Amino acid sequence: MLDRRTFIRNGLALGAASATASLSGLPAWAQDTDMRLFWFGSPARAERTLAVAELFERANPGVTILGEVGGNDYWSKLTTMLAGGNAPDIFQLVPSRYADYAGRGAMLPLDEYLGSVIRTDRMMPDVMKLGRVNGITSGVPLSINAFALLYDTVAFESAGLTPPDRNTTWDDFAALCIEMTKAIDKPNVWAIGNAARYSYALEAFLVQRGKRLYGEDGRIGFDATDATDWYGYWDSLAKSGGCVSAEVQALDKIQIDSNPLSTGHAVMAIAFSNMLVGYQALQQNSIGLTVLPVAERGGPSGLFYKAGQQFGVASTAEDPELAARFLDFFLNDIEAGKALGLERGVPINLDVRAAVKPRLNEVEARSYDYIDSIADISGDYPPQVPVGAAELEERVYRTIADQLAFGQITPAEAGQSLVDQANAILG
Amino acid sequence: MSVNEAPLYRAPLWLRFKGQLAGYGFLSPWLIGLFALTLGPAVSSLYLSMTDYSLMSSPRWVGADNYVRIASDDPRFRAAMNVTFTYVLLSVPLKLIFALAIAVLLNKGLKGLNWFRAIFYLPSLIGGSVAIAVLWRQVFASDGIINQVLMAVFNYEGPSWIANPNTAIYTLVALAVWQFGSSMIIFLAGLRQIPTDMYEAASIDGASRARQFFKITLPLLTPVIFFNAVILTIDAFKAFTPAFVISDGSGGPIDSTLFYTLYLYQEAFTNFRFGYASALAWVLVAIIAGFTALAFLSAKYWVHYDD
Repeated sequence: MLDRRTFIRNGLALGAASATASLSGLPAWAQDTDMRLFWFGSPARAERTLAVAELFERANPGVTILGEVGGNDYWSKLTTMLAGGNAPDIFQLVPSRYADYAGRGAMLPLDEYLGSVIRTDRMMPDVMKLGRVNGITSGVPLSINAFALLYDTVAFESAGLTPPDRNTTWDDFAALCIEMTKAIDKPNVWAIGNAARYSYALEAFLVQRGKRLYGEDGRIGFDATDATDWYGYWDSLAKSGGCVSAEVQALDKIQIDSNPLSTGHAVMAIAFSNMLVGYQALQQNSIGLTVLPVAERGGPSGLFYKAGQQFGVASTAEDPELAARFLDFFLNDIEAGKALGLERGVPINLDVRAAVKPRLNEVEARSYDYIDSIADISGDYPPQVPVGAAELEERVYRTIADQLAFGQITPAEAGQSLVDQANAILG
Repeated sequence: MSVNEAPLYRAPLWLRFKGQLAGYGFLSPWLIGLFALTLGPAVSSLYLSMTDYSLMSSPRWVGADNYVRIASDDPRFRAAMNVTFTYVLLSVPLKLIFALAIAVLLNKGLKGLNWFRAIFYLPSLIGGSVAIAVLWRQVFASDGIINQVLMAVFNYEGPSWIANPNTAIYTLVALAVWQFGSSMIIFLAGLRQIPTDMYEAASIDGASRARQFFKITLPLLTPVIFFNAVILTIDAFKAFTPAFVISDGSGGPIDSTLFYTLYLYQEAFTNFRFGYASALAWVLVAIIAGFTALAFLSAKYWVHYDD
């Protein structure tokens, strides 16, 4: 006998069963899955990143990628979410802060996926080293780039000066800057920003001397003499009018749009090769790209390939394999690579690189060619930046250089102070 | 029989509570907020302040170590105290003076008083916003309005106020003083409370305007001044947004705008020392409590209550 209540109960059971049946037989990720992806950067980057997310969604029905873009508050937001246990599944990192997150267990080890889910056969040799901390792969590099000297080609033409090349020493460069500033002959415009503040410029300077910014042991790879030489160089360049005043430099937040080159206070900048696109977007004059000055002619260039940025998978990610599959897609899929272009730097997959090359516009091609052109003078990948480096970035390098620029301390005091503070923080 | 006699019957506790139940019911949104959102986190931060806690790892008990380090071995704490006290000691009195002066002017029965009041109040509404801090950065830049005026009027080439470590803090004081509106509104309300016959009597006796101000207005206004001073002091100690926006979170140049709250924030969110940051927070609580207590203790010497 069938009463109303039984009928309803059976009906419900039947419905549930058929719903289950329709799902079984499909891979696990085919259930509606959301995956959160968090990065920072320009609107152009957002557009390209979301295009990749869309391609991935199309290849994986049922998966939805929720993109979130951070601004100036990116790091505090990320930290808050990690501490609160609601971290995005995949998030973007930069080499200078990478170990601060990886070394504290924020990211899931990816070693088991490397070579299988995340294919590495077509990648640059050893490039995955750029995602390793203490021997564990905590994330993957998204691209490579290198230090470069950016210059306003029109300024050099009208001054009748030759841009630096592989044979330009730091001393030649100082003379060039002084001459350039004189040639420009405008109030509040100099040849270049005061690069004493930039840890990456110091890093190139140190590599040329056979030292490192950070050693394999997680401590600094230089001594007070090296640092004093560095600060002394910029101090005397500032005093002889070759680089910007303290007040101009203090406003640089170490971003493309706040660099003196972009604010119209300088005609050169020490930056990363992939930033050419960003710098060029803010300039009418064509921006050229060349190597950094060297310690001595024929000596080490101080250049090496660095990770542009990295992606890490949160240790709390619900579906690590899906996240790993996304990383693989992001790095190895040709169409994804075409969507990304050079915005984050040069692709690490050689096939993707070849596919991207013919599609580059003239500005991107300059950045790409630069990376190619330094292949013969690039050194080894650097040791991983240690835990605590973020704090040095955040408050030590800039503060010491500003104290020096405002005349509060001497180069020797600055050098000693950098070594002392770095030792205190890195232990 | 006396009406004052104690009642013969006292309701048992549960019955009396039952009578108040409706009251607690109405209070519950606030009570829940207090316990879940304020007291809970406060207690856990007190615990964290005695731990070494860096984001992912679980907190490790270190007792009073964090407090000892704050007191004995933290140059940035001293820098932050220096900046914060400069800010409080300059911005609070200046803001009080501005607010009171404008309130007295507006109280003269100007035409269009409501308009003026709204205009002067406007900065307080928008002043805490990020947009204004960004605007402020433009105004005080090396080629900003301030320097253009200095150049045009005095032929003086001003510094880049925000980029110079010697002047950066004063631009933040100016930003704070500019937002005198809410104190001004409270002063205006206070001025309306003063009976006009006092001024009439005083002017018949030949007291000058200035004398009237110092002998009538100011003394009768002391409760309002006291209130404003306490509120402004607490707010100034807690100031965060302007320094964060203007220095881009760095407290620079050379820590010259490193407000206490900014330092606390950096310790937690860029240096991952949540335990130490919690200790810093409690030190700030103690400082604010100390200042407020001092204000209340001093009140009986200078605040006149009309009763």
